[in-house]
Amino acid sequence: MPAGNVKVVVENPGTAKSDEVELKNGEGIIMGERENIAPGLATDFTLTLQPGRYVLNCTFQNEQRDNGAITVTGTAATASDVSEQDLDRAVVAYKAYVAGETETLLRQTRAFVAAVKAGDVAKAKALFGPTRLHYETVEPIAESFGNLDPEIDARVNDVADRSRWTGFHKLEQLLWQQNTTAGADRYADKLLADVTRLHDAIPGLRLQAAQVANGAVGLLDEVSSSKITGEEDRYSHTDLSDFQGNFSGAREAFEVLKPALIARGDRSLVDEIEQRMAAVQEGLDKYRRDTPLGFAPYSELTARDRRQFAQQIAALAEPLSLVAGRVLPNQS
Amino acid sequence: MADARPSGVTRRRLLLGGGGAAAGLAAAAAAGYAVGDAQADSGAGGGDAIVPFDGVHQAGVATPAQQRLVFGSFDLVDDDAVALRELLRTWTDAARLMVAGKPTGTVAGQPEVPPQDTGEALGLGPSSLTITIGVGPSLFARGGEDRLGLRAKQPARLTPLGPLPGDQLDPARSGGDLCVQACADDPQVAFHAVRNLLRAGRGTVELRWLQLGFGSNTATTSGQQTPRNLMGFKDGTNNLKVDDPAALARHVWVGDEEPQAWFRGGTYVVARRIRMLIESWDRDRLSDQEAVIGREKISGAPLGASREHDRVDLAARAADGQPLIPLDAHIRLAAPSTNGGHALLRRGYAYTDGIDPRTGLLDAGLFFIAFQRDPQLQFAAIQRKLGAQDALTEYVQHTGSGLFAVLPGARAGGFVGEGLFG
Repeated sequence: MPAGNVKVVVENPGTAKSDEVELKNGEGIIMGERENIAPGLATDFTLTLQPGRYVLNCTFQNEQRDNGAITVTGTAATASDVSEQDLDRAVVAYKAYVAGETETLLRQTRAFVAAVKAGDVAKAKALFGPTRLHYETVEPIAESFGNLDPEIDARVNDVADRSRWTGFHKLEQLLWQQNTTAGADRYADKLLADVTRLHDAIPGLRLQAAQVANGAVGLLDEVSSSKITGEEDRYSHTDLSDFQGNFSGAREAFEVLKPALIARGDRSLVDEIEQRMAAVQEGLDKYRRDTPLGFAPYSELTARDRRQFAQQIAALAEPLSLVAGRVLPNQS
Repeated sequence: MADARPSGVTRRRLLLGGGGAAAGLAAAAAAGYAVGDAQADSGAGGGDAIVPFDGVHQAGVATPAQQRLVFGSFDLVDDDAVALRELLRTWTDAARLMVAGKPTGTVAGQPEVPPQDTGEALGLGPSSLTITIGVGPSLFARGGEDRLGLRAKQPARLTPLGPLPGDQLDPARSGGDLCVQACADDPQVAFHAVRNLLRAGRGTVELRWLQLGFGSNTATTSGQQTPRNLMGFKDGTNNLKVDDPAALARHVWVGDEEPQAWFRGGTYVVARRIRMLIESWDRDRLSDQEAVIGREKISGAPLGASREHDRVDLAARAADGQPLIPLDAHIRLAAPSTNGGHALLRRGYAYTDGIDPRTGLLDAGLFFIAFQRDPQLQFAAIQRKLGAQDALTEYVQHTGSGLFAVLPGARAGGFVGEGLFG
């Protein structure tokens, strides 16, 4: 098929629920997906495909099947106007940010893992939050690599089989709930291996401007669904640091897209988003502390501020969700 | 204001659909109302009744009560009159679309962009949706401060109700800078309306509290079979009726007495979340239930009479000299004749919010809504008496309260609340 916008229609003609359908590029990176497709129903997703080979996977009862390859031909869509060049620059800048964050994440994970394996509970606890922050800044990117996100960042209630629960939160549970590093080695080793996998996958990452924009909204959804409620770091109560990570990642995604928005005459949308971002940061700054974490524990968050954060995030995410539509090429 | 006559229900409530469309439009034109591009949903069923949004008065007051309610109270985020003006214009535009059964924007537009309208009302039709917007006293003064520079426009009787006997108010269920009452014959249509107005107002307003009502609990039209409230009693037998324009002009619509000319044609709404202590009520003996209300349970007849609509004779006495309708009976204390002739247009709904987590007892009752010209002379005066003397107070708790000035209706092409900014 020719390069350009492609609508993928997914139909489940069978009688059992299909878990997931994914379209991956040559590097195995998920470009688009749909989950939980009920029998007899169809759904679709649209994305811009550049020339190359793609694979469609259908997952059923945790078993992945390749359901055919797609070859996209023709020439890549070329930058047709100034703002498209802005978009290209935005994607390059955002990728550089992601590369920097995953570099820091890997370096700090090495130190965190070393503390765990050395049996230094206090040091491991001090490194836990500041390390995670660099995961939280780029979490939607990690989510595009299939199982990597659940293996690094699942909470205990996210996993089907708790004996196979791994990642930051498993170590958090050992460190805070049991105050030990005993039995933690294998989780530490696996975390380092998974973070290394994430880090090494970034150079091959292909991003579209719309993904960057919608990733920013996804980061705010993370804040409102789990950080504001204190469910993310339920043993260590380091949620406010994660909140800052998600929020910084969203702000970075917006910053790189800002020139394109301005080039398209969307100054008022830019102003609105900037004002609302400033309000969130101002609220968060009240909880900064001179501690290794840099933030107060979640238990210090007042009910009033919790509600205000939730309202501010909702007020910010609404205009932010319009950004993808404003910067997409060939759309009004 | 082109037409200062009170709007008649028969002209407001237009059934656009099939052969009725032309007649409906003609009637609307004759009455001076703009229907705009409202079109009937072609779907079958009862969802295609349209109540026009524009008019001298807002709809949802003198509109026969629909079956479902969603009532939202909002606070302004910033003290910004320009943002408020923009909000009221946005809400008016969205409301005009929704009452016509239309989405507020795309339901499926660009794949990379969230749909503009949330979509759950698609295919449900207009369902007699009314959207009624009001403003609270806190919009004009908070802590004595003229926060928006609008105090010169404050409706004369929009002052806080003050404490009333029997109040057990939860601040989280009380007050608010603005209110939206959405009523419809379909619960999802009503919810969709408030949800999409909230979304359109993100950043300008925050939701302070939200109440759902599931059954119209008060008779609002003459000849209607009187509905029962959750106590199992008929409610609204002697309510003001929306098809009695003279009574509405006397008791409901703000008129020439209002020094704020812009507010004439508006009204005041008092909303009270009245929790019924249902478990206690349910084990009260029948004779006591009837004595508390002052009516027979099945027929609804006043005690001592035989039919629901028989005159309430407060002077009637039994052979032993005791009043047939006890001195503390609800209908005696609430009757206009014992309240200087004052009456309210009640338009309440049953509610339940599940259980009280402290006790496991049902949290259910009446979301009382009443429209009036003067909340102090009408609602507050009556409630001062009821809260202190009414036998019913043993079985009810007022847990939430809101007072709002219901803005006059929008002119065609204008917006609700325009007069605030003139």
